Amino acid sequence: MPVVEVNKLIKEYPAKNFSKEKITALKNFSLNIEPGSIFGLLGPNGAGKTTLVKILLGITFPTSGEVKIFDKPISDITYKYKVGYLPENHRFPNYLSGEQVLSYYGRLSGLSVKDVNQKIPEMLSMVGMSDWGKTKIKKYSKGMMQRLGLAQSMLNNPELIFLDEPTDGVDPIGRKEIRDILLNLKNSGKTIFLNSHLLSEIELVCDKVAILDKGSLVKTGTIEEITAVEDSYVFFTSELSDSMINDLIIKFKVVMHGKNEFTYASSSLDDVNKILDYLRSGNILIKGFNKEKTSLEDMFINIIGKQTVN
Amino acid sequence: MIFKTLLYGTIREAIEKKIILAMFILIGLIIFLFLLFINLDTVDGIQQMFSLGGDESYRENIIRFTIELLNPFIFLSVFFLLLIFSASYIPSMLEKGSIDVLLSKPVSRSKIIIAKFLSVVFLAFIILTFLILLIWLMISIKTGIWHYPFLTSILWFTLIFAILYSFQMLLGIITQSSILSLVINLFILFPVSGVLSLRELTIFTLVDSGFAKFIVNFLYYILPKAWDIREICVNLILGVSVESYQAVITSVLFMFTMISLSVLYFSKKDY
Repeated sequence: MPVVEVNKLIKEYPAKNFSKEKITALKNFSLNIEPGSIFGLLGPNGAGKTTLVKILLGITFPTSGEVKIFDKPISDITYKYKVGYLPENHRFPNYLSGEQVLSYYGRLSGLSVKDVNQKIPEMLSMVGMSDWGKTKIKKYSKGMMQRLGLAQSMLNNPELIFLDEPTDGVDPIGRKEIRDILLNLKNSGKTIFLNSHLLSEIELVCDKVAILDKGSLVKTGTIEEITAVEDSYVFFTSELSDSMINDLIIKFKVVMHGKNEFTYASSSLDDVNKILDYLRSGNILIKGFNKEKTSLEDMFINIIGKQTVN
Repeated sequence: MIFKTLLYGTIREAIEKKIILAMFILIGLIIFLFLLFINLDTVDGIQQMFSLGGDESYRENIIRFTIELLNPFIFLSVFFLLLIFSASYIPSMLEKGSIDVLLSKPVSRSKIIIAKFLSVVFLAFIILTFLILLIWLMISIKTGIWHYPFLTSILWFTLIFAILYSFQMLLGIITQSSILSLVINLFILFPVSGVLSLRELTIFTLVDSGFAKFIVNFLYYILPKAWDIREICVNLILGVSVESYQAVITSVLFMFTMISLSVLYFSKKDY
């Protein structure tokens, strides 16, 4: 059963200039997230990503559509006992220390004082902040605030964690540490909903991604599915002779990348087999061939670019 | 548990932001000035003057003198300070990044608002207790007149604050601005309700139209009556019978309406 079920979700905001027109932030949006996975949400600024997260957390209300978390409608706030959230640009009371912040929000999450006190050192250690627990957070750097926010989101041992730009302001080593934390959480069966602008990061940790643009779902799938280039294969072979290269270019219209790698674009598997037969007939060792992939970033820019043109 | 945490959070905010400390210092200053007043033997002089009329008259006059310390000027100053100190609670809670975390917790929105309201009123109660109890103790020790009904003013003043704050809370939720909610509240609740309380002596001497009088009366009945409640409080301390509690009843109804509207608006609002 999916952890998050979104069905035909629409969110409209009134226009600010008192006109009757409405701004549609989400258009008939549907999505399912399976348990135990890291789900990445991508989209340019204003795509509706934060609106979606806020609806899932009951911070903003949908105009229409159905949203269920752990098979409960979001109007039933008890699902929040099993949810953690790190918002973008979060603001904790700056007169509190790190430990006090965790204690306050832990108790608001429904934990007992005893449980909170037990969990605080564990969480601070997990995010590498053990030495800073007693320091007032007004002395924290941006990266430290993010780590504290991450600890806060995990304090109630949630089954589903929403993270909005979790590595914002964190140095590269810290980012790697946060990625490791996310993978550990996933391995322990948690579901993570990740909203990040850092596509390379999403590519490294997410099992599945959805691309959102202007309130509509543009593409969804696993990282492999999203980054695969349709009908294009990359072949890795032993060194090819000049005559064979010539034949491949003329007969099969391949694109060579040196003498032992080429790309072949075709929608027909028969054509792919013809190339394989040709190579074998020339006693060429086929080291491997794959469907061509692109980086998530290139794919994202390609998709969003097309959307903008359309 | 969650309700207690919200109460604790608000009180902690007041302590850490040194709001309570500032209030205690300001009130301490008022009391210090009052102490100087006593040391200048003014009270002794007043004692001698009052005692000329016999024991009963002396006691009555001391009580009147004590109540004079809750005169309109001090009343206005104390509530002005209390409303200033409480103005930022709701807007700071609604700031982006802060409200997001709060609403992601398993706490109902109505609980958040009611807890916030009660905790701010509780803080005001502590501050008013400090002020009134100290004044009462000093006068009682100095004069030997222990007039316990004076202490009921703590509860009356807390009620007045709760009524005024309920309106400020609603304004804070709607405008999300401390200054705007404070200015509107102070304007409507002090000059406007003050003039409306004295409408017979002020507005009605200038206005003749029946319709205008109806509107003024309507405004009087729907708006809170801080001044009238103060008057009732003073009469009760003096042991004077109160003819009508209409001002208390309509003001309390106003308070519940404001709290209900706050909960309703907050429960429907997108953040």
